Amino acid sequence: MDALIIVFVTGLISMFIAMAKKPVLVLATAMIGLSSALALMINQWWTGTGFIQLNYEGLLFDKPSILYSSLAISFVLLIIAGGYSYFKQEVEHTGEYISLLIFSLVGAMCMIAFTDLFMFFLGLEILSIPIYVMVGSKKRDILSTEASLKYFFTGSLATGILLFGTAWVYGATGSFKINEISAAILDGSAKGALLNVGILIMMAAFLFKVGAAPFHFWSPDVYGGAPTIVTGFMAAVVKLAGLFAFLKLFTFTFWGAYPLWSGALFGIIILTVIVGNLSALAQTRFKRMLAFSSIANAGYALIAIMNQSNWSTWNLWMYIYGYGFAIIALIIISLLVNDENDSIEGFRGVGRKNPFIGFVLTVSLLSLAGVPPLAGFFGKYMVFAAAFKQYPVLVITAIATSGIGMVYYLRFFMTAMAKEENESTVEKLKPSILQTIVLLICAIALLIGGYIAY
Amino acid sequence: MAIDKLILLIMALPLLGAFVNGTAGKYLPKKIVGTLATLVMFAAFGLALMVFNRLHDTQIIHLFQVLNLDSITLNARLQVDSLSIWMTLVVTGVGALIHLFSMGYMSHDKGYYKFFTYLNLFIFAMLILVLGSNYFMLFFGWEGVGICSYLLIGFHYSDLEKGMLNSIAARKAFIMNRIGDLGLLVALFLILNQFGTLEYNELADRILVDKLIPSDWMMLGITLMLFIGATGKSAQIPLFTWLPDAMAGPTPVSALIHAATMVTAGIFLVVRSNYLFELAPTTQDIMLYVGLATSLVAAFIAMRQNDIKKVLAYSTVSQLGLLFVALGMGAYTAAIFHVTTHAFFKALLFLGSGSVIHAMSDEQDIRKMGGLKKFIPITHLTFLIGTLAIAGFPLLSGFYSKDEILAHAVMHNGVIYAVLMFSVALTAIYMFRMYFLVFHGEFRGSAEAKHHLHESPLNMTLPLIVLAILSVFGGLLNLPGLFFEKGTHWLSHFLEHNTRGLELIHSVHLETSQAMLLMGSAVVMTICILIASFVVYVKRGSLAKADSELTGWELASNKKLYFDEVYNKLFVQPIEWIGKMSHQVIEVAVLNKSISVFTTAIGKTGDLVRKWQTGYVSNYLLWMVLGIVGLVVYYLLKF
Repeated sequence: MDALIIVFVTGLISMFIAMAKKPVLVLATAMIGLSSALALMINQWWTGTGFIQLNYEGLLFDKPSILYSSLAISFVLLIIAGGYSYFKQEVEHTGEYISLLIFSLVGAMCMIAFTDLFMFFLGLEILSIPIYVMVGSKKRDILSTEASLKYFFTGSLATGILLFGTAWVYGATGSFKINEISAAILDGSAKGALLNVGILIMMAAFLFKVGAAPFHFWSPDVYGGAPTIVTGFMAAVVKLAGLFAFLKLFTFTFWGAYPLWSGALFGIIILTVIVGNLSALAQTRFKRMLAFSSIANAGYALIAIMNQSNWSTWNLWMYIYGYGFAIIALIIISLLVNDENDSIEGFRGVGRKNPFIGFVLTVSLLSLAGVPPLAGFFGKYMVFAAAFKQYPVLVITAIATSGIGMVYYLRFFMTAMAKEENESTVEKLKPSILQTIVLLICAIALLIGGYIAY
Repeated sequence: MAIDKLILLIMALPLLGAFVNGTAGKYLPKKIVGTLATLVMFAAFGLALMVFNRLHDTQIIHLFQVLNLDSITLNARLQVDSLSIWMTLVVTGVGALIHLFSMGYMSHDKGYYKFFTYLNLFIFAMLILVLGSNYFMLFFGWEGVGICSYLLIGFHYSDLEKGMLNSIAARKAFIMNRIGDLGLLVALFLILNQFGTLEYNELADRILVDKLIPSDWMMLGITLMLFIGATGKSAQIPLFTWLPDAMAGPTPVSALIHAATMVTAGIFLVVRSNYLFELAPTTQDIMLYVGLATSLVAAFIAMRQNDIKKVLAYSTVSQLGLLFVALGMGAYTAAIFHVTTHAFFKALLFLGSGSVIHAMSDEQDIRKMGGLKKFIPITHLTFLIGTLAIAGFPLLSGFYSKDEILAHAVMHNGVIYAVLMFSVALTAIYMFRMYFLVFHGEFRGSAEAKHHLHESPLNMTLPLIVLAILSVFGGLLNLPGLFFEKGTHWLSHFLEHNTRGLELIHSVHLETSQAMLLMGSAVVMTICILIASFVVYVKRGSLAKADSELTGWELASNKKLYFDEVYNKLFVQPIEWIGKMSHQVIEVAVLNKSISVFTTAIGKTGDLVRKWQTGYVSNYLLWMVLGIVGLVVYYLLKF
């Protein structure tokens, strides 16, 4: 709880301190605030209690929530540090960018730690509204504006659907508290169409948030139009919060209705991995490719939610760990390349221009493609292995499509590593110190991921 | 320091050298690179001496566990006993001298730092090979030395004239070794399957103490596979043709890897597994005859080779054959003794030839040399000592070690002794031929080459001198019981002291009169050959003929008995044919076609799916609503 408050206060301070027109101060505030929140999380992991005990039942930071929150805070730390050079381009907006990112993180943490649906909904909106703003923050860019508007329209519909579904579930169970809902479903006091349709409608809203087919259409346009760093935030943090809330709500709260939603999810996962991977194949723009890849990855992550295993929470965490660090590294490299059209061709020869970036790029792409011994491999392996006995068809489809996924990851990799025609005219890419550190952390996290999993 | 710490340090030093030179060597001056690589070797040798002084019982040093499964446990462990520390001394000692020599020899080379990196890495791998406490570690080192050997044979791969040839020679060595390695690997699996362990000590306990002996056929299989492994690394028939080609590498490499140390790995393997071989007499016989044949064939080929290094290479093969004869007769300590003396004099000869080549501005053909003794006196003297030692001249090291093997042969079988004597005689003949052709007579090279003739610098001659001294006195290590009462057979006793299996094999010594007779005949033969060669090559001034003039046996010898041609016809060409056919039929016709159909299909579907993404928000919203409708329909149909 104390970490959540600190994150929120950090967001507030960074917004107001920006009036000093000193971007460094905003950065420092954000870094210190988020780092201390992370430290508090770690402390709470070891001691079991936070420093502040609030008698509030809507949020509970138990061990899984701490695990996921810490990862989310780490992602945001890396994104802010890596994107700082972008934020400070427009001094008057630096504070807004950073504080909006942090407010969104507050929403993500609420979504992770919720214990009743009311808090969950609040978290979802706190998470989403800053993103609508940030997606459209390139005001003079028509694509950015379009993306923001599209996201807002579709997002509003999804919010409406979610509330609608919640109302059905409330009607069936008479409670917002997930413990009580869970108990009501298990002891059979809540059943029938009211509950079941409610659950399915809520699931539709979730599938929208994590970007699973056929609720995924917004994501290529929004990912593509949003400023690069916001794309990274959405791919890493929003996915994390959405997937964990999904896991918590469905495998815990709606456990009694497992046969119902698992059957639907089965079909949706298969559709998602196929559509995501196949659409990514022919993309020529980096962020759109990333968007489709994130759709496919959401499909793989949903497999962790599908299977009835005690390890699902951990497997999903490991999966997001590998995915998030790789995405952040790629996003920062894309920020460095700064190609106007955001085309994949713009990455040609990046590895030659700066071997360090080439190394990080290699590690990230191979991790995304699921090559051992990188973190992405272990995440995929753990998720697939856990589900294989129960859903062989699902896992085989997932493996086959991730084979297709290999194609566009490796093709991108080949472009990035290609030899420049004229070696002497190559201009060097120079990441800032902060970006170098962030890239290094991402690469190390991906390299040692296997040991964490072990 | 305790022994375990010392051993770890011995292992770490070459690795450190390789690491520093491999990472930073490019930016360091040559002096520092060479000095570092050489210093770590001398330090390792010094530490090995300390261990040698303190060692009493077998010591096992556990490093870490590599693999732990229900059925198999692999440990990275080291074992220090007499055999391994003796090999360590030879490897680090001779290795240090060759490093020193290389500092001078390679001084003009661009890849100086690379060379020393590989060389240090080789020593590290070799130390793992000899110091490991199980077959797994041995295999690790075995492959490690293999890759270093490959890298060093093809070291001058970018040479304009010979680069391609060097690469092919390296490849040949690698492939031939692979065949042997496969045998070794199969042997390892068989051992694991039969005994459940790869640890030397546990294996020895099972066999020597518990007497858990598998069937004769299994023992035959295991030992035969081990022997196949040994034939690859130690260049025995049928896998010996890579070693002469390996002379494409720089000369110090030939001295260190392809004469003194790596090629004796096969001998080490057999000595290490002696208790296995003692249970498989058939394999011992096979080993004996293969060794005998190799020794004879290689000696014969060496008779009419005109490349100074090729002669030495075939001589190495021949000597290795001799060693396998010794192993086949169960004379393990005699084999290790000869390995040691051979390391001394063969390293000396190779380095000497290196010095000659250096003086001759990279000319290796002995027909273009001659009369060099005036120009390079130190090289000449040390080369002479090496020649005498390998020819078995009385009181030099080779005399004793060879004599011991010959004595075993007499006790074993008269015919084998006779054939072995013949091979030894051939060795003396071709070695004296080469010596006289190189150092006596008139200089036959160009005037320009003559102008460049110079003695090598001190860092090259010093190793020669040290090795020459060792070649002279190396025999003292294992004196026969003929002359003295005490202090004889020191090395044998040392090895038997705590090497598993060896203590059980009691060598029977010949009676004094018989031994005297043997020695006498060997001495007489060597001296006769020396005089005859002197007469032929110095007094009569006979010269090596040009290749076109050769006929009969000389041609056969010069053409290496057509081994390469036969192998080419028998193996290389059929395999290339199969490769070509499978490329045409399987790859192009079947695989490529089917894969391209598959990828087109996927690409098409991808396009289809992509068109779904229309870009209109109204469509997106519609699909979302349809999705929800779908979910509800699913519910209605299913529940």
